[in-house]
Amino acid sequence: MQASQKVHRLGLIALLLAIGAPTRSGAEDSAERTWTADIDFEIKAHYRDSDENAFPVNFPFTPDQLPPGQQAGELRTVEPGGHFEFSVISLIADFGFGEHWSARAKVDIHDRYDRNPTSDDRDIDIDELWIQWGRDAAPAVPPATPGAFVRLGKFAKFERQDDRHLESYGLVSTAFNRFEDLGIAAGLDLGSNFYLKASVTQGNPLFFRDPNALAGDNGTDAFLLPNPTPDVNSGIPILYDAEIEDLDTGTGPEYGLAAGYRWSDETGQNAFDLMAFAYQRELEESVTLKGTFYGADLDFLRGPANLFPYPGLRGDEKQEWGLNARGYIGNLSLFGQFVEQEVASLDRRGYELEASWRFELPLVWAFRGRQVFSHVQPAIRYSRIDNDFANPAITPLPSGNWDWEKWDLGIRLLILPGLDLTAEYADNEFETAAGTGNNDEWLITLRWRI
Amino acid sequence: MANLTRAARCVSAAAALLLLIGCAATSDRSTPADPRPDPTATNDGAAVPPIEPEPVAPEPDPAPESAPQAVPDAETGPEPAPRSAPVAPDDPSADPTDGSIAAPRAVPAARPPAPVNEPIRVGGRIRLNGERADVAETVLYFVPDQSTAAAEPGTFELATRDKAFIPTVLVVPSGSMIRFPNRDPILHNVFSVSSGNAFDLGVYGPGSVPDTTLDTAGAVNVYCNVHHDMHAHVLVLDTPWFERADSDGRFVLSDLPPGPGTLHAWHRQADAWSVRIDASAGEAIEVVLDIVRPQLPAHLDKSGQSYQRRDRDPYR
Repeated sequence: MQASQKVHRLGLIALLLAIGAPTRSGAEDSAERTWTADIDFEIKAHYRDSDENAFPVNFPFTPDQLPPGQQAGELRTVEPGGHFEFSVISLIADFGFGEHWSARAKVDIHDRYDRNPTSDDRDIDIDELWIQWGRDAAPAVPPATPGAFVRLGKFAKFERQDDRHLESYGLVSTAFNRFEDLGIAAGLDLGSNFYLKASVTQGNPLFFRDPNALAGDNGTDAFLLPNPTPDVNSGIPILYDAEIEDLDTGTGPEYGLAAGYRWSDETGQNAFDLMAFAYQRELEESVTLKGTFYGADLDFLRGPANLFPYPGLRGDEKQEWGLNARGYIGNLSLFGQFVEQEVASLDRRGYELEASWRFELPLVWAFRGRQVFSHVQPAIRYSRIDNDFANPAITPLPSGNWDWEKWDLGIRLLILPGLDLTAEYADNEFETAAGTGNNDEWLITLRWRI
Repeated sequence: MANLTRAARCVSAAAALLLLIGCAATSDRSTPADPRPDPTATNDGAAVPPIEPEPVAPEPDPAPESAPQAVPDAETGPEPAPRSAPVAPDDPSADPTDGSIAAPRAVPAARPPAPVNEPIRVGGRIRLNGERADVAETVLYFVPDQSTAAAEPGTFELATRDKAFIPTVLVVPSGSMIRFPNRDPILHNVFSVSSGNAFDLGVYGPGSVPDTTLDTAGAVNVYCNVHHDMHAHVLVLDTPWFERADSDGRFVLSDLPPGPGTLHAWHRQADAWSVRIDASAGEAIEVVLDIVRPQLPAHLDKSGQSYQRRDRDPYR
């Protein structure tokens, strides 16, 4: 039996088990069914200061495909220098009905950071939209009684780090699980500690983007004009699983499966959660993303006009597996993730480790009953991507196979509940054909949730 | 060279972030100043004289310390003698730092046994085995075999200030009302899930003074649903004969009824301790308590969930 068939079968079994498993007794089912709603807005404002870097591209662009005065193609920092900007306004709505039903909608307006690297991407984006039956226990929180859930819609992947402490993303988060997927997911508790999860989803298209805050522009309409002068540059992109933009039933779905063990002491002060996960799908010939003439999936891997494929490119299967570890020791939070991915026989793997500490601050000021500056939380994150494949001899994306290392150091200050300030520094170092390169930036984020 | 440059960048970034930390945090974990009163001070602030060495004998003519104390009757036993002066509910001058627990008295030097009709005292000393514990949080109480008096309930205060309870240990007769004045500029939500004395005061703001009545004898763990590190213990007693140790661990229980009974020592970080005594014997009691629990008990929030849940609103 093929590994992929095993994944399919196990996923189906888990899904059926989850659907069939009752979470509450019949008596509780008859409990009063009431609606609950929690609607918030979130606004983010930034000051970003990016280094200015450029790396040559050997792709034979014609002179009129290059910006004025430029003699050869380059990968350039998306938007060097210091800038104040609003990155996103989000509407976040959570609903509940009775004991078992819940739903969530998260709509982003003008999201400069969590978008595909095209300047023409949508101004209004449905980030999450799902309905759920049952209960999905929070990471590292063993439920008092076993339960199950089924979720339908657009939702985050199992392994995504939900309790993030920095505004930026690590390389692994960017490359593999930054964006939500569309489909159905289910989970089942095997007692309080063991759990299974499975999903059948559309699969995020394989594309490329800069791992720093701004996504950059690639293949946009502006580049179709003679001597283009786009608002922002390409960035120094890595391969990543891009944001889903449309319902696509072109090829088979992506199957996902996860199994984990969670534990906590009786108060939840000390806890951990270990999870193994795997995904498999067939790559599509091409996936169209709004605002770029590059196609995603195999179209992207075969290069412009399908003439410049990666040398090791074989088949159309995309597989990945990985391990997640979360740990909580009092006010110390730890997160680690390993992912091994094979995309049409191109291998790569990533590691990410993060530690953050929450320090309570003395009560000095208050505003409307809330402590001003109640805690501060420094965080440090290390992430790395190793690529085991060669670039095409001629490519517009030389950074596609660069081994990459990123350190993120930051601190988050809670100004008031719902209002925090995060200052962080991203140190990128990567191995180009000509030696070590860097592309670093400072990012200060004011986040306000109303 | 590249590595050196990178190291310099990282060090610069780390230094800048540390500067930010330094500006924002004056300490890593807030430890409010010890709000407890100086146990060597009396209620009016006068210092208690140095304590004489043991053994301890009943003092023939003890001066009343806090509330008026009746002279025990040899046949009927003593009248209830409240050791904690209740707080007048509307008395703004009430000292919030002691929850109206009377300061313990000094133990006099050994003296001849007291005449039958004179007040009976039992004294001694507490010693704690272990660190991070305050001996002055020890409560001693006497339960006579033949109970002749009931504790008179009163009104007491357990204030919130600087994200802490003041005092951290309060002893009250059963049936007493506890007021929780919020002297912080922030919201609190005081609650307890202790059996027989569970309560939830809800979220309340500065200046509010919610209250509750504790009817069931026993130790009551009091927490705040917003601030995990806030905690206090209220020891609810059915007996009127109780006292707290001083900062040296010395204690005196006064005006006890004659005859046998059980002397209990309670410390929130130690297991229960008791000994059979004859109150008339006037022996000095030596108590050794092993500290087996941390100051902050492991606890969940009022709904039975961890404070560390990352998806909850602490002000709910």
